[in-house]
Amino acid sequence: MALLDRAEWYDIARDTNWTPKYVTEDALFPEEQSGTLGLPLEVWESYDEPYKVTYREYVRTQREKDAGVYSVKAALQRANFLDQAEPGWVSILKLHYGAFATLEAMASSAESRMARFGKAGGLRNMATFGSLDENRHGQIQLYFPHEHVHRSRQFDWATKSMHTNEWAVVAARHLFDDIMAGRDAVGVALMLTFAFETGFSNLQFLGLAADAAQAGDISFSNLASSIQTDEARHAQIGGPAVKILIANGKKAEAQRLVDIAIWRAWTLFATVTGPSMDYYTPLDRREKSFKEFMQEWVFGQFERTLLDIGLERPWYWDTMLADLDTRHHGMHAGIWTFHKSVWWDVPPGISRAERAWLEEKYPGWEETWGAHFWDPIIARFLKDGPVDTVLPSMVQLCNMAQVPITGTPGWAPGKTGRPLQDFPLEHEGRLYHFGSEVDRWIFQQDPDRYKDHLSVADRMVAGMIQPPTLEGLLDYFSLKEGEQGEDALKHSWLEEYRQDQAQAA
Amino acid sequence: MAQIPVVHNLYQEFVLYVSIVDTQNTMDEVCQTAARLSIGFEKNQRLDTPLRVRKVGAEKPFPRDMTVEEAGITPMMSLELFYEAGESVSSEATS
Repeated sequence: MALLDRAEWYDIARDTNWTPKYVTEDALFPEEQSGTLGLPLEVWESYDEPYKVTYREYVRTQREKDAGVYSVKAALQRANFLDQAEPGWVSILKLHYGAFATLEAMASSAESRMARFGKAGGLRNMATFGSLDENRHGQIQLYFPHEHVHRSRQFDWATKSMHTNEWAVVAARHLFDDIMAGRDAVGVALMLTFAFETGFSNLQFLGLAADAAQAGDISFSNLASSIQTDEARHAQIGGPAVKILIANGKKAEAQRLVDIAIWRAWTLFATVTGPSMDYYTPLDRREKSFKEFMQEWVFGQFERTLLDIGLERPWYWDTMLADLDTRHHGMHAGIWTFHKSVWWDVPPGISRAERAWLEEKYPGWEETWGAHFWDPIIARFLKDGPVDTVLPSMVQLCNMAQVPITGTPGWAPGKTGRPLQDFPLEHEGRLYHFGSEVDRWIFQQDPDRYKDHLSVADRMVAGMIQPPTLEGLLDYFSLKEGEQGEDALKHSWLEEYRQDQAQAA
Repeated sequence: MAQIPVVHNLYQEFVLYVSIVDTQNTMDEVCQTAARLSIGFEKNQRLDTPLRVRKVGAEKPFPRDMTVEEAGITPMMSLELFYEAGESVSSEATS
């Protein structure tokens, strides 16, 4: 039987809207689930998805993708690549799987919300595929690390992480609860697919695939490429929804949601991707600095996307650009000084050659991060011997990003970076702390949404972590022996400085 | 007399810490506690002028001999520990 061309039937078939007779439109699409800001069904019928695909095409393509990825994995499994891989790359894998595998599974339910409660037929169709995509991403990113669990229990955090109160996990959950699990269909379309996926994660997977190929990890490179091609498709769900909101007088609301999501995505990327690119990736494998990557792919391309679609740059755009010189260096410094608190081993990334690279990519790095943070630690290590936990006290976490509040050490006017600064806010008798004016602004957009959450620092102060010691904290994080991060180089990097010291003496 | 947590921003540090101070501690003693919890303060400190404490957003510091209780410092209040004589101290000048 001859098949019609897709173009001849797609628009009719996927437009499954009808006029409800037994229930009201509001009952069929409750506002708290649909989030369409009062725009009726007929307005959403103009939704035009840029990427049209049928179920038959989808299944065929996905089957081919899976067959490719799993067969490459099977073929390379006996090569034991990971046993010879550089420590920094192994750390990136552990970090990646623990941070994202189960979040991808959670994304499946967010896509399902759009598939059920989106008022546009095209949106629902794409979101159905998006839900299947995310289900696949969850499964495949749990399956791949499983073969490495016998090498290190840290790989088991792909499964375990989201069931713990480890601080970075709390940060990730807070973000994705906000833009994904706890948003209506339009909120998910704008915040997850348009802001987070178009702006950040689609490009992240592109970069990861390239980095993996550079590192010789063909299996992971294939995995990342396979996921990225799905992301590239379902990330386009949000764009047409933005256009409909703008065309119907809802630009301010759309802008607000996108502004919240972009900043929150940025703080996650600065915590995860920034240290990975600038400190973990072996020096001879680095193609771009995190700053260059963000400037070209995220801020450059995404800025054009925002303007083309009819939105404005977020009001904090310049603040975010300036943050490129500070935030991820601070996240790396904080994570390395308390590496027992994460599920991956943390490379310091500060050999003489790596420092020269950092200074080239971030002029002024040496006189701030080098001189006021790393050099004092190196001097102390050379004098007294290295210790596992350098961080001397509990640090204050941002009540929005849930990560340490950091600034540039040794900062002074005229130097690059920005000063360490708290942005406090008193609300209903409770004092909140934020790492930037943007984090505080997000809280102020909807205080009831955020006000009851306790950061890990708040929990410590409230006596919820017992005993209130390092051991008590690690136990609260569910980080057992063999899972707690170590210095990925076992402090062998100190030898270079020891030799320098001996020559200078 | 009680111990309370405060958030402190020590001069030229890279991260905000939560430290425990006694309500009878003077501002100078608060500074000593913070300095002990620092990573880079040995490098950053200035010997020619005392460290001062002020509430975030305030212009003037508390008197050095004022206690935490007298200053009205409450749990988790955010404090800046800074030098009055100017912000600009290069790494060379302190080495």
